[in-house]
Amino acid sequence: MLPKRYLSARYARSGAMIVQKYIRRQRYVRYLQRYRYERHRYRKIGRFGFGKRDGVAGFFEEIPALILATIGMSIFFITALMAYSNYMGQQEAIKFVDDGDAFSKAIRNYKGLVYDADGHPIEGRFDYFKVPNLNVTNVSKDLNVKIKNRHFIVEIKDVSDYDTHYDVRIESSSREGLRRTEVLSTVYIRVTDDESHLARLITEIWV
Amino acid sequence: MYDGMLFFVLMLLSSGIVMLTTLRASNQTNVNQNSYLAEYADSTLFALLKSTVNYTYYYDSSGPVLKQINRTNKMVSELLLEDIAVRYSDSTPDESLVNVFEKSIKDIADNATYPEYRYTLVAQYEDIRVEIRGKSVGALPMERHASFMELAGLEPINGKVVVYLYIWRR
Repeated sequence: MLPKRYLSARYARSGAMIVQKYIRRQRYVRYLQRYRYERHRYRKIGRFGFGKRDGVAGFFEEIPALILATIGMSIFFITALMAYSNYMGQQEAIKFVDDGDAFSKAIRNYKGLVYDADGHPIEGRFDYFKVPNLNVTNVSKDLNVKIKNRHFIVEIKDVSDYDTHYDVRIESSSREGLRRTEVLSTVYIRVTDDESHLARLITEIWV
Repeated sequence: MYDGMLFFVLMLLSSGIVMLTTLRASNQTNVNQNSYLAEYADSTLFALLKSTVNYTYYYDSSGPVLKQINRTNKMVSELLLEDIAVRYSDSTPDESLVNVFEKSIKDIADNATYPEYRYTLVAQYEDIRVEIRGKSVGALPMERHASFMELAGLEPINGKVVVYLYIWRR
């Protein structure tokens, strides 16, 4: 049923034009209704994050957060990797120093140096007769377990105020090493019951 | 966005915790160095006390006549005990006790100590104290390692004399 205004004199034109205009108007109204309905629908669905408009916009909004998360993860993994590498290096260094210490103790108790004529060898009490006879071959053979095929230096330096000094220095290799550890200690060299010379003992191992 | 920031902060905190843990593990190295220094102090004190001094002397001023006391091939421990005994019986000993007798001990101890270390050797009986300081050593530092031995005192001392060796890094 057409509204009365379309039948008034003011709009009195050909019937076809009136009908066309009416149809266009109706299409427009339906379009508006449809648009309002869709808008309402999209908003409702968009609350759950799956709507077309919200879904597309939300992805772009999350990109900075994704970058932050990636940077955070990267920092954490790099730090963990560095810490692990550092820790392993330290453990290796500590073990190497311990080996150097064990080698020094072995030298201090080495039967090729210690005075044992009285039947009571004492750590760090060397025999003046044995000191000059110290050599690489014997030390390598007798203390191979402690040396573990590493290169070594043993140096005994008599620092007493006597005229005769008992010094010795043996070196298994002249090759430079990447890692070296040096252990310093003090010993005494027994000459007679009344004469003992104070001496420095330097041991060094390297690979 | 806020979730991302929160996650980032958490990751930074975790990284900090990991770094702190690593630093604590590195203290293990210091512990090893300290135990090594303690062993060095022990070996040095033992060897020093057992070693002998070729020749030294001091003047005995306790009697009416100044008398030279010569000591040959005496162990450092014996010299220290004699030093304490002399100081015990004579409250104002001759200067030679410090300038010659103790200096001979100082010379041998100086030679024995490696350049990277400093030391002070102390022998003590009650309030009598003999202190021999190494080269360019002032007061004892806060961080030091001490090794000590108890020795039976010489007559007229009827007790133990304690000998300390303090060692520290330069």
